[in-house]
Amino acid sequence: MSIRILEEQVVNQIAAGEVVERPASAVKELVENAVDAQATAIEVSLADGGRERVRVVDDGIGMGRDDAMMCLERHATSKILRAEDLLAVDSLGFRGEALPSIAAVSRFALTTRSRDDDAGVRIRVEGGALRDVSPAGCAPGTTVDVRSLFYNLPARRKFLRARATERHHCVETVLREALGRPQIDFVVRHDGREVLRAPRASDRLDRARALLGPQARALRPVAFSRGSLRVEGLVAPGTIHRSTAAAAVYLYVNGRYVRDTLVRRAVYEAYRGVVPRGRYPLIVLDIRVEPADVDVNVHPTKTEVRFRQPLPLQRALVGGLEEALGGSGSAGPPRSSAVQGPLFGAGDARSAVSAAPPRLSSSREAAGTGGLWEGGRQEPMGGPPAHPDDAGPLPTPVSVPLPPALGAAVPPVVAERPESQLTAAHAPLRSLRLIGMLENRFILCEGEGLVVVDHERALVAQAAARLRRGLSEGGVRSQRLLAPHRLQLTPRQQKQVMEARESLSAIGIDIESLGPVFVIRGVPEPLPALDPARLAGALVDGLPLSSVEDLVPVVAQAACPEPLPPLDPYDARALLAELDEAGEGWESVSLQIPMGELERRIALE
Amino acid sequence: MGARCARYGAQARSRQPPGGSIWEPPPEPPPDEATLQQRADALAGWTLGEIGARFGWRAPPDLRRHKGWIGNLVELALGATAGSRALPDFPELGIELKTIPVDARGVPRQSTFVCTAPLGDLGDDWSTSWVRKKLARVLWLPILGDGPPGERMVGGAVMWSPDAEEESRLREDWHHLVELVVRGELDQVTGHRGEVLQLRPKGQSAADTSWVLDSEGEWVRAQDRAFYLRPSFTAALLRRALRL
Repeated sequence: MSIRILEEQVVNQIAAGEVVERPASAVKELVENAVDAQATAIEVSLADGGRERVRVVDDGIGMGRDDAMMCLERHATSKILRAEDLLAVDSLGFRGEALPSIAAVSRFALTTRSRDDDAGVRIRVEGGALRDVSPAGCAPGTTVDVRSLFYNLPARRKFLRARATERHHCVETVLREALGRPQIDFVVRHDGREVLRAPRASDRLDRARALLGPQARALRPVAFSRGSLRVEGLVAPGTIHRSTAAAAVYLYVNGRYVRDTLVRRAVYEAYRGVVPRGRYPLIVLDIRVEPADVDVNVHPTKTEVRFRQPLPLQRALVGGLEEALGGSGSAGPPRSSAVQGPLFGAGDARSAVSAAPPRLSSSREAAGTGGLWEGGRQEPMGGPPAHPDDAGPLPTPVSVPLPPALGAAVPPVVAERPESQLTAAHAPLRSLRLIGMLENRFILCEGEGLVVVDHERALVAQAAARLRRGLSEGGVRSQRLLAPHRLQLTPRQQKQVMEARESLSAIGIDIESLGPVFVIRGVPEPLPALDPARLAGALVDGLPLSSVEDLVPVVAQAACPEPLPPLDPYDARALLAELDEAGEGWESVSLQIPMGELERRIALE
Repeated sequence: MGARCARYGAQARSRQPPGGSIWEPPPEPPPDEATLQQRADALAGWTLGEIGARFGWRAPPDLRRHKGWIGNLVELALGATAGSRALPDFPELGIELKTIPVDARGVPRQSTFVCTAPLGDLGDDWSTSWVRKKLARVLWLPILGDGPPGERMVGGAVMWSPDAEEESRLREDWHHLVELVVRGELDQVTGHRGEVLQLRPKGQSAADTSWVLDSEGEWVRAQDRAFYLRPSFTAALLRRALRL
């Protein structure tokens, strides 16, 4: 067969194959277009995992008729003009490939109206061939409706995965975009059912908490800069980790979600020795560099980038993250006055691990699968993470000096007081390896010996810490109750409650007198599980309670559920991490039996 | 308030309460939303009997023949003025008051009436529809308990406007239901239609009918309907607002 030039439609289909690999690729391109169009609300509707339909509706600036026609031409874009503009791309898209590519492999309809126009325009394209252009009544913004993706490429369609898999990829794509843009409303529906909802959030933290599940409660803001590099984001302590990088590590470069290996390795390096082997820390990072210092024109999907000076950037990232996680504290936003030192004490954990004697390390490894909790979460927290792309240490690893107090393998207090047998654990609780639960009353951990954390006391300390944090921020917010709790008080009790009203209000308890009956209408917002009846009983029993200092322990004790709720390893880690972070009272909730004491006891037996 | 409630409403204030105490005069309409919220908050924890006693209203033994008693009492206590007129309960504030009977977990016991829907005049567009106007700003007042009305308690009030997602779901249902009526497919308009919004006969207006075109294009008389919110919709908004 002689060589010949391919027909344009075939060229388009080949090119489309690079940009549109699966429904999620179409979702990504269309959502990015909506973001570039300054949308404040983006709605994605999917049918059959996106295979039958992907519809993206935005309220952005929209397009006039001519622009709408032009945007379906290959390499037609409003985002760059000249070759040198490629060096300073500040929009998500710029190649002018997405819409024609999608239109080439689907039954495609674009409906758009610019804010200046009275009417919109609807353009229908099938398999890359223009079918119809007509005026349309629509709100300002753009709606792209993609039906029967790959209907004209049966080979590609055959390679699409199951409905649930494609749906997952589509939703995950929107989630990544939503995490990076808290100011935009995102909704995803699948076959009519809402599967993701991200209402406009005040900041990235709120957005992450809405999208990433209960573990996101442990996320904390972080911000640092090194030269022209600026990094903002959210980091979780090393105790919070997930099994796949895709669901844990969300990285953005100049607002664009990327899968860049260089940045990933910097993150893993910063968490080295803190996150268990084979697990991934929960983290959201937005890295801002000069547009000229990064090339986003590496691949049509634009999830890969190239940095002009990769190694200095990597070192700066590792250093900044390590500092934020456990270093000098120069990084990150202002913290609560109750929190001293590192954000999570991860540096302490790293130090504790690296300072532990070899015998302890080997015993940890041996005990890795023998805990009371089943599954891979039993991994010790030490050791380098075994990520596929973690081939070895970075060229110039940043060392973290060990605080002198943590350098000793055996706590001096134990050595000086052998008769005490049991002492309060004094290593950070997060650095302990969880072993299991004993009758749901005690959390058993491996530290420098056996550490036993009292479940109930830990919950009480957690509640107290939350109340104190609220008080330090100007007062604890009150959560209105659906069912106010009424209580009958004696005249003396009524007087005492009235005297304590100011303190009760400061701590978030809304209590009012209805004559002889008092009614609790609101409870402290940070303690959502607080049973108002239990609170009422505790308050009455504790009277007189005139000061906030008197109230905190009473309310915290009342907030401890009875019976104690079952605790899974994730909850246990989050509980210990929260206590560490608060820097409050953990020594009163745990006991430590040193290894020497255990060995002595066993020898005596 | 209808005449059937006379014994249990304002007309029942023929005698001074025992002990010679003075009934409270109903408050003036609230000047702003914050005042209304404060008043609603102040009712939380009171039983309806206690609230009624403040204004000289006796509680009926049950609601079978006094359906509007709870709503009327709460409107009085909060200073509402619109009564049964086709206006929001607080017309100056554009706020609608909705009492909503719930169980102890905050699950509504029934669907929530929004507005009547004369089939001949359902409106042309969602943006100008009565449903949208009525639901633009709502003060939800949960009512707890299912015993005698006087023993039921007012719960924590929630001031609400539909967010973009809620409005979109309401809009979709409204268009769907109105379209069925306009196409004359009245037999399709049942309580099963609508994800969050229903269009179904209203209990007290069974005699109200309108002329409408059926699917064959023939004029027929059909019973008027009313829009109701499904309990799942109201449960979700209460759950979110009160973190249930």
